[in-house]
Amino acid sequence: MVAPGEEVGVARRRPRRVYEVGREPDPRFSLANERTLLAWLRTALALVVAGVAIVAFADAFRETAWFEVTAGIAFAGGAVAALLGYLRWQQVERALRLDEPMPSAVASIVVLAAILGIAVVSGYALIASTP
Amino acid sequence: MSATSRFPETQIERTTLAWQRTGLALAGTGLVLARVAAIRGSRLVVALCAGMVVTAGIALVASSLAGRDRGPWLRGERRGGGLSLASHATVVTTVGLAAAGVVLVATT
Repeated sequence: MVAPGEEVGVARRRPRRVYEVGREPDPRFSLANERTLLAWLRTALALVVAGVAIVAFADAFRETAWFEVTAGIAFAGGAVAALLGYLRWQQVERALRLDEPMPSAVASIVVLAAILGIAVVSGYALIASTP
Repeated sequence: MSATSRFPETQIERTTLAWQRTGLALAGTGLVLARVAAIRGSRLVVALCAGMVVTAGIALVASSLAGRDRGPWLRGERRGGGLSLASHATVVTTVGLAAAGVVLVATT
């Protein structure tokens, strides 16, 4: 197992608010948590790609300003999703180290709200731009 | 016995692949956003995206190399294995790219 000398360097791990508490969890759980963070980042990127597609669509067809609003929601949703995904990674890693129950996934509501926002505003934009 | 418990190294492999997938998605998204920003004439967003694509590339290589170093941690031979600097850079780049999109629609 872990030799005392090999614990040197552990203090360098960031963020400290995660790694300074509790005990080392099973590495497989930490890896699973890391992959969940990556899934969050890819979801955030999907929102950014949606924003880019809406901007390109609006430019190509000289659409109304409502499409810009829709793209703005997608970009802002992407930024918030990435940030919340990182905060959630911290929460879960701390819970793993402290042997606490899994924190609730409130962050998913933000993505849901962004998707709903895109759907509602783009739906209105389509109706408003139809002659 | 599941394949994961017989071969725990597959966890590292899967995580490294997830990093690579995310890095590639990040670089691709950055390039597309830069192209749209160039069409709209926003040099600021093009410059932001270019910087982020480069960061994504560096983080992609660094996280792939870090994956090779995780075997002893997984086997309980040493501690470590926290999120690397490259991983944090990937998070920041993703947020930055989304923020660049907001700047694009707000300024052009």
